[in-house]
Amino acid sequence: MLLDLKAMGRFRYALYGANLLVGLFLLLPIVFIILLSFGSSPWLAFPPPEWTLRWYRQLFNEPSWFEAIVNSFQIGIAVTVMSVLLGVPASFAVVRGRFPGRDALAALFTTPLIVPLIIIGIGLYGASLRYGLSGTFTAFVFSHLVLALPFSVICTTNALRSFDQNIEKAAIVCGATRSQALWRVTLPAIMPGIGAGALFSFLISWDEVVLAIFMSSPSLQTLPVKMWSALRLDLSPVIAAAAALMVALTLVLLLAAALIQWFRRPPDTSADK
Amino acid sequence: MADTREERPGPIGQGAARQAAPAKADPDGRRWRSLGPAVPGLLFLAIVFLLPVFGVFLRGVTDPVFGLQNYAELLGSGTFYDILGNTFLVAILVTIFSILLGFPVAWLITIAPGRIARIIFAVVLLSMWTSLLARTYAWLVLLQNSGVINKMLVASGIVDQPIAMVNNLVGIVIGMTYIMIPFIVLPLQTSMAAIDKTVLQAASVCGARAPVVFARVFLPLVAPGLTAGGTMVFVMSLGYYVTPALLGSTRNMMLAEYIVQQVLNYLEWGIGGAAAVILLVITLAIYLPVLGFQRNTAST
Amino acid sequence: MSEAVQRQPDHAEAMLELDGVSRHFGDFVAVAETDLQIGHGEFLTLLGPSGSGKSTTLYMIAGFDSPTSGDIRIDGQSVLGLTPNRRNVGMVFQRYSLFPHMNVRENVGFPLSVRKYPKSDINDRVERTLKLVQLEEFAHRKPSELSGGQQQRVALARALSYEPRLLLMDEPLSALDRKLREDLQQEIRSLHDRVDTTIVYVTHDQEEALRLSDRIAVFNHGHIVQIGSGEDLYHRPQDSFVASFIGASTFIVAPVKGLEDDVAVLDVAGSEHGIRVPRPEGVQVKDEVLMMIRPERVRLCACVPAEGNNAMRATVREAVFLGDNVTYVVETSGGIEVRVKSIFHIDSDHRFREGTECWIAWDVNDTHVFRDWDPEDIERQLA
Repeated sequence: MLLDLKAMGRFRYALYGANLLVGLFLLLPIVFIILLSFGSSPWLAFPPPEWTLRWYRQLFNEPSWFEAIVNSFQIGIAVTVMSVLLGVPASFAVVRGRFPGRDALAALFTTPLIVPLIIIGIGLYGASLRYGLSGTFTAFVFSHLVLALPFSVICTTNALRSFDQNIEKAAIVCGATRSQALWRVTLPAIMPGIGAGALFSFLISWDEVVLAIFMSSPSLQTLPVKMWSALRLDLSPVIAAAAALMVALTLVLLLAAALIQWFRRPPDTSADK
Repeated sequence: MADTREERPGPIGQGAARQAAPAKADPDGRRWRSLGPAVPGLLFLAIVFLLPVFGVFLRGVTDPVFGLQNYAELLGSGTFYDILGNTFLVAILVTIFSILLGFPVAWLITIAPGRIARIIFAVVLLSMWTSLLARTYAWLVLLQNSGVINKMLVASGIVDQPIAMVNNLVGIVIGMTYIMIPFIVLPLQTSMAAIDKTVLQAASVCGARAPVVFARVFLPLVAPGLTAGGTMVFVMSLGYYVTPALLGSTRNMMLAEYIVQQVLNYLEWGIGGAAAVILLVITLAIYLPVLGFQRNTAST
Repeated sequence: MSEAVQRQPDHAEAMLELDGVSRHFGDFVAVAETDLQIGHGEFLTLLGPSGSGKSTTLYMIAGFDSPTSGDIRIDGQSVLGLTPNRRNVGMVFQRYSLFPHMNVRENVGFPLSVRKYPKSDINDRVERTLKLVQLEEFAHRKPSELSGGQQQRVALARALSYEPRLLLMDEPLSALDRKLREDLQQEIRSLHDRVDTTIVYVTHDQEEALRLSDRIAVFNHGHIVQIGSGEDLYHRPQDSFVASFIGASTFIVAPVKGLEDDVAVLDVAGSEHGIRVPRPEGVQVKDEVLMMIRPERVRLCACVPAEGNNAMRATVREAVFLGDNVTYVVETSGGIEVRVKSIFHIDSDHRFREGTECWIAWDVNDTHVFRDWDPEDIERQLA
């Protein structure tokens, strides 16, 4: 029957098959890119005649590429930090605030996710032109932050909402000040939510291409932008290497997050009944 | 909200009236102060997000001169309608295909034993968070006439000549469906997981065959998740830039690319701004009713 | 205890037959080989503790699970190959399982529309069924707008709307509070009288089983230990499990010290002549047996009881007034605790106080004796 795998009979195999196909569909390009980046053919012949690391070497030796990587990192970290600094307090206001229009505020923080990215892009472009901020580090960070902040707020508010405020009150009864309770009890408890928001903020900034196209200048490019402009010229495998690098980073970060979650899981208390 | 208490005679009846209790110190102030922590974020969004976006809309009616001439020009332009038509076509196709492909995935995640479900879920998640550009690039290479897919198709004799799968509608739809599948799977899976298995058993006992149970009980119960995901995918597709720009051609230009072209290439801020407003209006026109409807239907 | 009306199967052939049905999960035996016949119009309850196999059996009858061996026949025909939707049975689930996106009328009409009845027909039947469960005014409401008891009645209506030959009920009242449960039990009984469907009911509540059923099948560890009417099970338990699961009992383990024609004499501490019980088959002197006596069969006497009964000296340890009876716990001179239930007579003034010395007495034939038992059975009564 529909929600019972064993009771489904032969339809089960259709479901398995569909999933296998879609799963391959999802994974194939990613695997393909990684393989391609190690191939020696400059014309992206596949399977490649030889395996090589030369594209990666180019990636790290050629100044324009290397700088782009460094820029992406620096901007990403700056965005993450600011996203947490702005987002966490905002979450407290959204979850615990008692002012009128609190729901509107919550909605406001998610608006950047609804407004089409392209509109935000040209808006920021126009503004950066007007204020001469085009191509600056600040412009990049701010534009990415617009997209990252909603994620930080959403993740932190979720964690905060499921946090039992009585625990905080218990700390205060034990003698802690409001501030101590906040730093020593509440924040550690919602750290997974804050962490998730931070993780997403970094990933968003790292991968962000649309806004970056508008913000960048020849002197300051992020990795996606460099890839984008390179793509307009030809399909050199260096781009594949850059793409593989981006995939690798996502993998590493997601794995790290999964591992942290796995280590933090509550100990098995079934023994004590 | 007066806080004064009634005067009461004291216990001995001497008329010792209680003092009116002082009103809570500045209650409205306390309430507004709870807004405080959000102010920096709020200010940031106002300055860096709301104002610039508003600025775009403003340009739509002020550039080159004040008035609605940009809108008139756009709405009277055949090219613009072609572009709108293209955009909607792609969005519809992408939504349909990502639902078709995402539905079985969400389904299996819901009913498979833990380990398998987690693996599939991880694949979906990984796909979602991997660089958009990297993934689009991958399709760009794969779909080339000289690319792997075409090579295999020709070699196995399915076709005589390589099929043009890039720089056209096919490429755009493939590439965007690929991106959008996770956005269907996640909300859909949540809806499916919330269904009580015994409700489906009850439908079966009542005499309904599996397809009937699927159509009359299962689908209605996952409708919220399906609508949420489908709407999100549709709206995202409407405003998408990167993938269509890379995998399509100027013949299939979509709205976002058009706006970028107007602004970046032709410096036509007025037209670009007006087109942006039209895009936003369409976006909101689709999102808001769906959001409102979902809020009204009581959740079980 | 209500007197369950003994209903004999109307027809010679059974409506529902389980023939050697078993269900194994690897090595674990959920249901051991079971034979069961249920007659047309009968109300049979599968009674037992959790995990005893009763629900598994019900789900096999419904078709959601297949037996490892054996056959299930409805109206003489095997249903093993049929999926649940083709068995034409009605089922009421523990958590109602109504369709949340449909209103009451649509829920009740669902099985009819699935069977492609004409619309006017559906409306008629839905109206009639709703009237049967007294929910006509709520036809347009959604399940989320109904109370637990109302939802359960809708579930009942949905199961009855297509007049199935067999109605299965899986602990339908366990999620309700006590008063509501009793009300609905009453309704189910009267429904059964009016509609005359065959009902198989699963519960762990022995009182509920006694209230509703024509016959009760008691399950323990996957086996049917005894089937019979409530009276059968109560007065003639064939197994210490049944004796302990249904009704209250006092259990005493004692060795046999003497045998007479049809009586065995047990050596029970505190009884000089020994306790006389009906003689079980094949028992030898020095064998240990388990004797059981129901509290309401024991009398408290202020003076030595007449000859021919079992009698022991005792001291009253506890006296609890429970409205229609006083329940005592007395301790015999041998240190054994016996529960005595004394139905309160208006004209009897004999209320024994705690600490009072007295005699307890009961008829020899009211004693039940078991040669095998599970320590759990004794535990259950002490809890």
